[in-house]
Amino acid sequence: MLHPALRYVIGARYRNRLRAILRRLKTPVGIIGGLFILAIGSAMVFGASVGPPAPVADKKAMLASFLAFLLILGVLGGIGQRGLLFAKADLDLVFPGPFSRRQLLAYYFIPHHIAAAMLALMYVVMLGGRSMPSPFLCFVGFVLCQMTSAHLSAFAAELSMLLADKIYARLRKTTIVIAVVVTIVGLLAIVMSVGGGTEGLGSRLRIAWDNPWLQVLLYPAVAAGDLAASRGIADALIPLSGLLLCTAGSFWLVALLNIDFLESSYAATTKFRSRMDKAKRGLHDTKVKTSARGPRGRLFTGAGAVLWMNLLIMRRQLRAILGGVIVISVMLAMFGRQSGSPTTILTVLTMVPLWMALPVGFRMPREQLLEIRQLPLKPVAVVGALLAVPTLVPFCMQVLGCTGLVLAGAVAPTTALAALPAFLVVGTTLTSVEALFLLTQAEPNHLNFLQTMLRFLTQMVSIAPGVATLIVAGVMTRDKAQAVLLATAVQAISAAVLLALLGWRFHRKELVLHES
Amino acid sequence: MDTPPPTLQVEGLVKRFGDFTAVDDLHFACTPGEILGLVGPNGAGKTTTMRCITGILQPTAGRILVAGTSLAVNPMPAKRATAFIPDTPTPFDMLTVLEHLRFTALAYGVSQAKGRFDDLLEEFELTEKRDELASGLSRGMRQKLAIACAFLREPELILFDEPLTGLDPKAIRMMRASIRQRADAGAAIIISSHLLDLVEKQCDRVLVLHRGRTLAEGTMDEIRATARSDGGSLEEAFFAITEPDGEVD
Repeated sequence: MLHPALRYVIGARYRNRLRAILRRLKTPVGIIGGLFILAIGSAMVFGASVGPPAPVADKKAMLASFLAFLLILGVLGGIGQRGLLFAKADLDLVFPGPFSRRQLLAYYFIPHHIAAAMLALMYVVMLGGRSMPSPFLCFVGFVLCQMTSAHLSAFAAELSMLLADKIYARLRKTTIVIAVVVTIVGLLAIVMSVGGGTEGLGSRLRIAWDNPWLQVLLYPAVAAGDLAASRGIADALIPLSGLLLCTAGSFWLVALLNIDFLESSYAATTKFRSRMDKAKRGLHDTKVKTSARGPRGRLFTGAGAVLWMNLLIMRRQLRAILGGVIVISVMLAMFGRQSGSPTTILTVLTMVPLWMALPVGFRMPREQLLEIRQLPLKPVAVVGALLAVPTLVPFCMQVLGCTGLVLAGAVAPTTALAALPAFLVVGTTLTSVEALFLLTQAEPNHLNFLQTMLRFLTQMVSIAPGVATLIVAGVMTRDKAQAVLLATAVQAISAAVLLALLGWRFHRKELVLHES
Repeated sequence: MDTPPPTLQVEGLVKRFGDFTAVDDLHFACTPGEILGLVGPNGAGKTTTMRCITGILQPTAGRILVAGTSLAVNPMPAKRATAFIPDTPTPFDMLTVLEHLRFTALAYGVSQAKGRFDDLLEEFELTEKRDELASGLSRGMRQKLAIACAFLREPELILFDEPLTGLDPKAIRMMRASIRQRADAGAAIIISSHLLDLVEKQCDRVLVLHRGRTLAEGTMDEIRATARSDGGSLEEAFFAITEPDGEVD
């Protein structure tokens, strides 16, 4: 079914990607990043094998719920995109080529299925799959369910291509609302269940799966769970046959519609890729109102103009920032509920700058940084202006989080007040280290995972002086607030050194542009 | 002398996107060995027309025949006969230069392709880059790679959308010679460009489009006659045709 040329492209892509990873692993950055990933992977494998094993029925319910979640989002995503998403290169090199519709469909699905197999392998090796009665059947069930999900997603996309524009516009809005509700309910279910009651998440989900409607509507996920939990061939026969039927049947549905999807997929891919490019540059809507009033006050003159520009970029993506704030709040609530310890909650809150990737400051494209560097301004002022927004926005969130914790009675007001300067100092340290990496690295962040890992590791090391002081002072003084203040002072010196280093790097060293 | 049958024949082509008509009742043909220039201001429908001819966009109405085969009825032979080089080619990031040529050879069933790889790499000054991933190529190199892939399979119809974008002067000279060479070898070539100087020097006939419609068609002399600018450049004729009242968009 797959044309030899398309098979060649898929093979060459994976082969070259693997080679690129292996090449990177030979560099110092690659070695450290690789070791770090290995450590995380080992910790996950080890973490999954310690503690009392959960009942198989609970693990089955959890697996089925996870797969059902992916299945629902896959179908909703298909409706929302109204066309199949290909790579940008496919539009130029594959779409005009002499390939039949079925060959193109096979070409579209194979990378999805390979990704499904990788995800299933991760689940089996690192997460709960290893302790299932048959890890192999668990892997097979996971992959087949994900394959069905990809087929159904494409089928939903094809169906939405058939709809008239006006009907589709309405359907899309409804789909987005349902997707948001499903995601929030899913996250809330996790938050409410983790450490929140006498019964664990698995047993709660098991009860939910007793609903016959859910069993029918989300059959592929149920069957994958049954397959993972089966103890022999006889047990596996029915769910395996069911899943195979679902996988083949869903592909047959996609092939049956016989829609010429090239035009819709061309439009959907172009739109999606351009949206992704804009998002990387921090743009979400290019039609904005320009305020008739420019910046006012002395703060926005000189290097202040750079600060004003950063604030403007931030204001134009409030929606995305709010979305990020909600996700971070849910994650914080999860940690808080699970640990119940104010120290843990405050520690997690300290790390907020790591999670907020705002496209301002040193995260701006290098071309823009080069222009800013050439401005006739004091280097210290320019660096300060560039760091202000990415440091202060997470700080505002930390202040809000602390206020919430104080109001909920989880943290004493004095502890919260003592934590605020620490947040600011740690935030400045983390942002400065990231800026140094962004100025030094040869390729953009998203292209090199190992590079990102190394940066994360360095950020952790950069706050070591503060952490060490906190531990020593905590043991010696037995006064938490005093220990925090002392640690903040030590970390502030470390941050000042980093700022000086950043200023020197930004103004004195060459800034190489990334290949676009 | 008998005129050879056209390699490309476009009859009553209409392309609408919702309420917007991008191409409106277009008729034109391109014969073997001919270089046809498509000119028009932004939004004239040049790229949409080209994408319809490649089979990526479905015409709302009308008929496209490539090498005597209807694109709608029998797309495979028509697609095999056509090569399209977009204005900003996007190669596969994770494929090397040589692997792009191999992919093209496999996709279009080019026989004896291996022997031609080295010639094309040399012709387009890509020999040193043969084992480099496309993600590391400059814009000009990507353009050359796209053209090398197109030339590898010796298509009957070649569509260029802004072929000289990103090329250095030496490459521009080589590209112009290469286009002429392909036309002399019998390929029908369509060049869409805003570079009126290129079109004037390179093309045998010109089609002037504006808001999806044909405003003028013919040889350079015929275009000048339509514009009533005897002896003037294509640029003068172009503005006389597209902006008769001297208005500027």
